[in-house]
Amino acid sequence: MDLTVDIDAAYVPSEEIVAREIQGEFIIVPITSGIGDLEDDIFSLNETARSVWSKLDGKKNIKEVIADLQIEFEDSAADIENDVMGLVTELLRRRMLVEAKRG
Amino acid sequence: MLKLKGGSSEFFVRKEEDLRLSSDALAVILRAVQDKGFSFKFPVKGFSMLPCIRTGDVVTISPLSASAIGLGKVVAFIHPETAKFNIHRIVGSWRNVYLIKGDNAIKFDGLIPIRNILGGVTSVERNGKRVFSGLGRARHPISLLSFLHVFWILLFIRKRISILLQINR
Repeated sequence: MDLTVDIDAAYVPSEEIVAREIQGEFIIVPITSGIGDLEDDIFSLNETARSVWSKLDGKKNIKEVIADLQIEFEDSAADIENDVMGLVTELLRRRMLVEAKRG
Repeated sequence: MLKLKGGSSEFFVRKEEDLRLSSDALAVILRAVQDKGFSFKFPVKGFSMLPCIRTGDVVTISPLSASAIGLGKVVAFIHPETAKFNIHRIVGSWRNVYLIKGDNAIKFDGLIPIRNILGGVTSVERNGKRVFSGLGRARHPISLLSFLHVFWILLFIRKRISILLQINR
């Protein structure tokens, strides 16, 4: 699996997850072999990750997502880029995110 | 302005031990998973379905077609009055309304409309192994005994006998 993040590509949540905001928590349940398994794998995103996740809509590429976050947050551009790239890599590794089809 | 927090290691809050999901939250997740046509597997808590389902057992809930909802099925449902999420057995039916009760419960849950039924239990695992859970042929006699309020009495007697046998050893 290619975990290289393409800064010019847009990404979307994978079809193999269910994500919901419940009681203040943003919960992600992975779907494995047709089963949403809460026994072993259930994840919640922290606030930083939630801010990034909400912008991963398959329309904006990573460059645009970083630019949006620079307006919202006071961190340096390098720190924001570092966090976004780190999170997107992690989400790709966990198969929670996929690259959106271009065009 | 806010500050972004944390590195990649802090993006995820690792769950179960950190996140205590309420039964209502479970119901929301179950609905969301089933909307995609998938089954949902999670550990349960409670005593109302003893001895078939115990605290810590992992149940798999699968989508059920209307025709598959019937007597003896163990179903996940939202109670129309209390809005609580539960997993109990169908012990009676009339058109699209079902009388539901926990195997180990004294009271009926009441009449539950089909729209409140989220899915059916298709397997129960204990310590990683599938266990007898009254989902096969046994579901019909269990539902009858439960309806007649005899099942929990039998369980009570069985428990008493096993305690007496242990004392006499």
